[in-house]
Amino acid sequence: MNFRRIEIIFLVTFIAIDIFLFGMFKKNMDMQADNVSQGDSDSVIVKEMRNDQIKVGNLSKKNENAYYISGEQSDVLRNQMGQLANQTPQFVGHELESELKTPITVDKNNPRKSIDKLLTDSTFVLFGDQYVYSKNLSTSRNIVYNQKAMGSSIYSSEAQIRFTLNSNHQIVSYTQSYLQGIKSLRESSETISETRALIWLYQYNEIPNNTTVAWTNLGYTKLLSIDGDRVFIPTWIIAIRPQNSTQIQLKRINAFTGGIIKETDENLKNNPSSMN
Amino acid sequence: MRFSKYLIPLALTIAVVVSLTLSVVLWTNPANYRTNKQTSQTPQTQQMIKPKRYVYSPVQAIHTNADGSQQILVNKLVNTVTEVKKTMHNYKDPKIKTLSKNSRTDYFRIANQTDSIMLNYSDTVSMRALNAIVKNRFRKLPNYKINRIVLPTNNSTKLYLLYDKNFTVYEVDVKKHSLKSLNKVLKMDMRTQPASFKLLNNKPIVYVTTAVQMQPYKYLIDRQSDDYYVSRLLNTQDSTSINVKRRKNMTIYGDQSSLQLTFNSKNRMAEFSDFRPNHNRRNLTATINDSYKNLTKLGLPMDNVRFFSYDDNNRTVTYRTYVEGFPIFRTNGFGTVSTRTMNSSAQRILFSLDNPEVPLPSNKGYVSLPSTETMLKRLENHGYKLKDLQKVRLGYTWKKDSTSPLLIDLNPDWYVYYNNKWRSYTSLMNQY
Repeated sequence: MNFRRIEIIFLVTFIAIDIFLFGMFKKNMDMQADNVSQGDSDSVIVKEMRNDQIKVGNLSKKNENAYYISGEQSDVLRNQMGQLANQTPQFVGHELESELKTPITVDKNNPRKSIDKLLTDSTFVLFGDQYVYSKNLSTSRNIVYNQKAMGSSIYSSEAQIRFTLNSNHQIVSYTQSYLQGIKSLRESSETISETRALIWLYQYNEIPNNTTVAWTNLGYTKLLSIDGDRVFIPTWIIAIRPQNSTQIQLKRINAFTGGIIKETDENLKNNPSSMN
Repeated sequence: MRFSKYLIPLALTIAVVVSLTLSVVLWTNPANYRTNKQTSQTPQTQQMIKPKRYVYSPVQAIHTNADGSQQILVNKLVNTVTEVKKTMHNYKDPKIKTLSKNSRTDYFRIANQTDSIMLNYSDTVSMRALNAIVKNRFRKLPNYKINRIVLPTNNSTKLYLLYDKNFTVYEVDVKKHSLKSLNKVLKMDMRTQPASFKLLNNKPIVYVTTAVQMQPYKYLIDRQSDDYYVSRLLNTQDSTSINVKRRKNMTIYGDQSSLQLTFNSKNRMAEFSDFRPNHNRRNLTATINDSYKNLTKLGLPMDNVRFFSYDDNNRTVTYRTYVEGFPIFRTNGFGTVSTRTMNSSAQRILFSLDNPEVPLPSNKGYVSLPSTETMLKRLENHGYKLKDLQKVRLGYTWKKDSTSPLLIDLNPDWYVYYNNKWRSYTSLMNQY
């Protein structure tokens, strides 16, 4: 059956061609999908970043919700510092500086655990329950707590407790600043995602090649001051570290608009006196 | 035996036909000629472009209790409409039917049914706009016009769509879904304002039944320079040909023929005229789509900017910035952006160069506004004809702050659409 054999050979060849064509067809469809979807362009840029020797961990694509918030600088710490025991508090420029008469020993490996417990005591630190430990800002000799605000925390020297430890893992002194009456100025709105924030920072050319993104955090940072009032906006705080270096640089991205916030911007742009 | 005799020729024929069709499809599809490089195009500009479902969103939520009493859910810590919208992503197998037409009784029976949340659009939109909110689940439904969505909080298989103009009620049947998240929204931190939904001059509106407490605001504005818009809007192929004319407080940029951009430095407004051919489409969906394209092209900050109204006669679509769920009005009644299609070769976009950006702490207490009924009565006593009044809204009046050009004050007030213009209650009362 010669004819039958030829038929079989043809059949096999055509099936092979079909499979090949179908593969091409599918690839085409994917390519079209690529062009429309925005998520993919994000991952392309992240890939580009990795090509530039920028080390990034896994990034979240989730949009969070956050507020514009305000708080007031006040003298409440000075008014209540009389109740602090075993220390000599001083109130200097809206900051409470206090030295402990007898140093307090904290857990060597986990100082946070000991301090968290101490913070509930209002004769040790005022309003201690309103602060939360910041792993990223703390070092072995300097433990930093940020003031809590609307489900997140404030990254500002105006709302912080910094504990100074000596080499024997003992707290010797601390500095505290406090904002009163923290409230939202408007209903919550959606922020940009971690990925987007990093991409924008990259596109502003703020991440040099050969660096590592050490950590990113969504917190509140100061946008402007009006008299005693402080206005904070949700900010993606991105810590980058050049390779072969331990120095960390903090970059800030406005989590609502995606704009970069320069350090110098803080008071300048919106200081009421300079606006007139 | 007989069967296998025909099997091979048959299979061969099918294989040949399939390969031919696939070849034709591949050759005629232009995507085939695209190189892979094009996919990694430069990402969009830094300005945040808000999706259609954000701009064409309902702006008000009203809850009807089990006893029939109604209240507006006012934003405080959360945006109430956004929270309700989040619960609307899971509708399966939607089927629509017209429940009634031209019957006011049926319309209000559905709208004011007990245990329900009604979402109100600021003006008529088409089903496509709603489809964007429900994650494309309504894409197969006919493109009806709608004004309101009624979500029963105790019936998980039905929702209703209302069209004001001829009092049409549509019922959408969906597969059973959980109502837990919808009921959770009602427990969130928000302010409520007693209200009732009824007719004014034959048009359904939301009456506020008691005096309203509203918070005045102070905002820092985002001020864009002229250059920003010139480079965005007039940046055509030959940018050398842009000319500038200055007249008093007007600056006019234009390319030789088809584009013109006028800035008014006094009232901080700009007008962009585009005399290139456009689609000149007339139906609601197409106009909204074209308008949205123009809006995104502008590059104006779109935070809290929402669709406000569409005027059929002159094809003008307006957008306003919302605060706490209430729209902002300037002294001339203008909002944030308006786009207008005049004819197939003229489009005009009016927009504000200053836009509210950051709310600032204000120590002013709440301001009390009269109820709708009281407000209307006072207007009537003042000599205004209620007949000429078409719409009523609570809103905020834009006022320059005396201390700084970068600050504005937003003061709560009633707004009425009187003789085809948005006028504030205060200005009407002060007129005579």
